[in-house]
Amino acid sequence: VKNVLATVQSVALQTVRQSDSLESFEPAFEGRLQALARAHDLLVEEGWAGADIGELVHQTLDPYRSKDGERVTIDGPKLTLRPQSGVALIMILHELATNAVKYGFLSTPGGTLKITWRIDDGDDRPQIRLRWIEAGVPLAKPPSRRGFGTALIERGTSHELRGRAVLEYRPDGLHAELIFPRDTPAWRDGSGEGRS
Amino acid sequence: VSARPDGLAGLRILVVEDEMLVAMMVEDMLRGMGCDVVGPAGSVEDALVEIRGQHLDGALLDINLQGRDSSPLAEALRDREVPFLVVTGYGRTEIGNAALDTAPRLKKPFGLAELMDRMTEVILGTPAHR
Repeated sequence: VKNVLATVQSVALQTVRQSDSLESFEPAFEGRLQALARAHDLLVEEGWAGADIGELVHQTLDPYRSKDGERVTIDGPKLTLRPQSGVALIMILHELATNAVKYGFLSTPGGTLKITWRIDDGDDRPQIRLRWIEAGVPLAKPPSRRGFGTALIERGTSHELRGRAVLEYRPDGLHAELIFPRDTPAWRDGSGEGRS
Repeated sequence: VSARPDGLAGLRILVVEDEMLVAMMVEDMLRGMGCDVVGPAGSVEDALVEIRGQHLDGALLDINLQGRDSSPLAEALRDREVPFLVVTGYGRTEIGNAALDTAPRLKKPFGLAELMDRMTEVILGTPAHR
């Protein structure tokens, strides 16, 4: 990612914007900074060739799984994204996990998450459908205000993944789906294509 | 964001930036100035559609979009006499394209005050007051 400083600046400014106090700014900013750092680590390890969806999901969710392994189910084929999409997906998954700690399956003992992804060949071009299905969350409710996190999930999907995000707050938990084309016009450097 | 120089409010500004987080911030800054944001466009193709499709008062043009330089966009903007700032990160900044290389620059990361000053100079054509 070529503009690391500007990216960090963006995360800082927008986290400030939605923080009521320094006390709430600090963990929110640090979490996002860590997510960015994880994204960069992974991309460097992969030699900037691309990022496997499963690895991104594990990176984000393993810290929560280790505490209580049964709560999270992860299932999907090996699929490589171009590096920039990988960074976006890490940030999106981080926001989903952060929201889950505050309002979702990680905020309640009986909460569960099933995260799956697959290729849908039904349309004229293959789409990746990534589902984040929470359950067992009593009185599940959307975040109290539409903050940077939700914007990041929606904009990350539309701008970087060139798809769309559907966030549905059901009575027992969030159902989120990211739908994006497998081959984006933006994927030009050729590295990593067809690896999966 | 409270500062709203009257001259910039209401201008239709195209944002061309391929990094989502940076695009979100720039959009936020422009909205804070009262500008009408077009885009953000993250690729040469998407940006060309925006440039050809409507009236623009100005543009912020990232010099590099997913590994391609944005010369075609600089030329399209120049041909339409839309003033623009070329936004650069680190790395190569001389592209070998006149429209791109001779345009005024803005270096990332930039702050709100710097953006307002440069836009005032380049898009409104008046010297910034500071």
